[in-house]
Amino acid sequence: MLLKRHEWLDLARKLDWQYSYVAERDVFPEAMSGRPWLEHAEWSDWDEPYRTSYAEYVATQHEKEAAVHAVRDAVGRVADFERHDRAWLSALKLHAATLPLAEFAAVVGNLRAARFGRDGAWRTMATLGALDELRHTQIPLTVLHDLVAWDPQFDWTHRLFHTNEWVAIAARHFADELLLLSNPVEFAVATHFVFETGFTNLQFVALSAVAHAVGDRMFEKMVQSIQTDEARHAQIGGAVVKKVCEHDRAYAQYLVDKWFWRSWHFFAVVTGFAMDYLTPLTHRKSSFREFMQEWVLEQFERTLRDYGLERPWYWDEFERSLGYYHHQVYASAYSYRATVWFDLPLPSPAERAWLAEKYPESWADFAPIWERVSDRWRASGPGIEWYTHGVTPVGFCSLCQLVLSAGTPRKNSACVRDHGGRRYIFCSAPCAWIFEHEPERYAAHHTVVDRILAGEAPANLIALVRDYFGLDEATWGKDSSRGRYPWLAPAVGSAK
Amino acid sequence: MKEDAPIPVYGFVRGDTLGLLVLVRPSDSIATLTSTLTEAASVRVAPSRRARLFSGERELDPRASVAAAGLMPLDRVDLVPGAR
Repeated sequence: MLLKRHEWLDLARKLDWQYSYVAERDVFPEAMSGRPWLEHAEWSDWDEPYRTSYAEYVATQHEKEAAVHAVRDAVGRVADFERHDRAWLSALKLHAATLPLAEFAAVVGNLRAARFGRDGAWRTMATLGALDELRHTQIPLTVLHDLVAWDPQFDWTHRLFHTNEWVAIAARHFADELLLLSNPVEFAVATHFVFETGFTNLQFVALSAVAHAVGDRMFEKMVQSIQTDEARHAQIGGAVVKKVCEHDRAYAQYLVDKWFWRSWHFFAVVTGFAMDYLTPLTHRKSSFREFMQEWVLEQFERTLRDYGLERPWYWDEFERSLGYYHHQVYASAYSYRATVWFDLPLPSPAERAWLAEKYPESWADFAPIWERVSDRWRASGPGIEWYTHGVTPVGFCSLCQLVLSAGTPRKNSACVRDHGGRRYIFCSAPCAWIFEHEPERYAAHHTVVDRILAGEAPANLIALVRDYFGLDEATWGKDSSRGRYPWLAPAVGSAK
Repeated sequence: MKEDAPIPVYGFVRGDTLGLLVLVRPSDSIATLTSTLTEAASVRVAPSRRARLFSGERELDPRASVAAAGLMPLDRVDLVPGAR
């Protein structure tokens, strides 16, 4: 007689046993499994709501794969992408390059949990999570590969993480620690609970809605398909946080505080750019801050309360930065656009009016910057990229490795600290705080500036971009319209 | 190291969106550093004919040299455009 599902399921997904010839601590050493180290009896009630078997997983994933491929066949050709606004294509290039190889690193993090996670159900879910992340690597690489011959900037979908381009250095610094280095406990809290539950799961919902509005059915389908996987394996996070809170609440709080800030900075650059600058104005649903307030802040605060955790200690600074950080980085990136692999649009007067309405307390600080850049375009005329491009090397945070663009234009929050005979600079107090808690983890890393000063990277910007970042004239970022905006009336007596 | 070799300094211009790394010789004046920093940020911030330079809360004398002002490699300085 065949067993019913509930009769065999736990044998298939939650199988643990007692060791007779080796100590449990040797099977799951703390260095590999994480802390707090607890006897398995403490973990034995670990569970998650999906309770999926491997066979069910394969059947579901097969259907999802078929759906993605069907959409690709229907609307995934070059001609389909040619129809899109150039700014939206930049949003694709930004997401496409930062996503797939980070997902590939997450395969490793999940596989470590598949071996060293402390309960059979956790290890099973992590195994499925690793398969998910492999899929999230392959889908964007497959879908966007066809576009490389049409637009070489799409080559950076695969290339970014293999370069020393500054966003790549920052992305690796973040992803290597989050996904490759973390033990299963930190991985579960940082990746599943903070990054996925707090940020990306909902981000994918919002991004697919934006892609739908733009008419990009391929990107919409891709992120929808990825999101359904994320929603499942992210459940590992809460189940681990619950157990860590029971035994070492201070450690759980520390991990949340650390990884929320690290995730926020990276997220603000990738998604903040897309929602407030790269989505055509007529298709914008809400501002990045409105999205953050509705989808991230409210639900994440509620989740923290559910687990008896506090908001991170820098919450006020975080809320203020919702109105500033991504705007600061965007203006910085625009004026150093040759250092990235995608083009950036100059916000039009209509877009600036929209941003002023959405960010009433902060936009007045950014309006003069865009006026200044616009004036320089008027003076140079279209096609003269260098006249609106910086040449002086910029500073990078010794923790997040992103440009020193935190705080406000009136008061940049960067702070200098000395440690072990070396000088470090941090973009913000939380980045300095993270460094000071684990200096042994971060102190040896070199920012782009450290590399320039050590003679490893050239100081000259063109040499830096070409020889160290690996960009060339075909791939480095430019103004999306090469300065040809109908609203940019040429000034009398231009500089040309 | 040569006695007057350039040193890197992090400069922040009020109204700008990021920190810049400028090179300055210890013998250069603070006025020269101010001018270098103003030019470095000029793509985003319109240059001001008058500007003040600070190290922390301390305003630096434009006639003093970088060495006399006590600036060290990778120190932070803040430039405030506008009237003195």
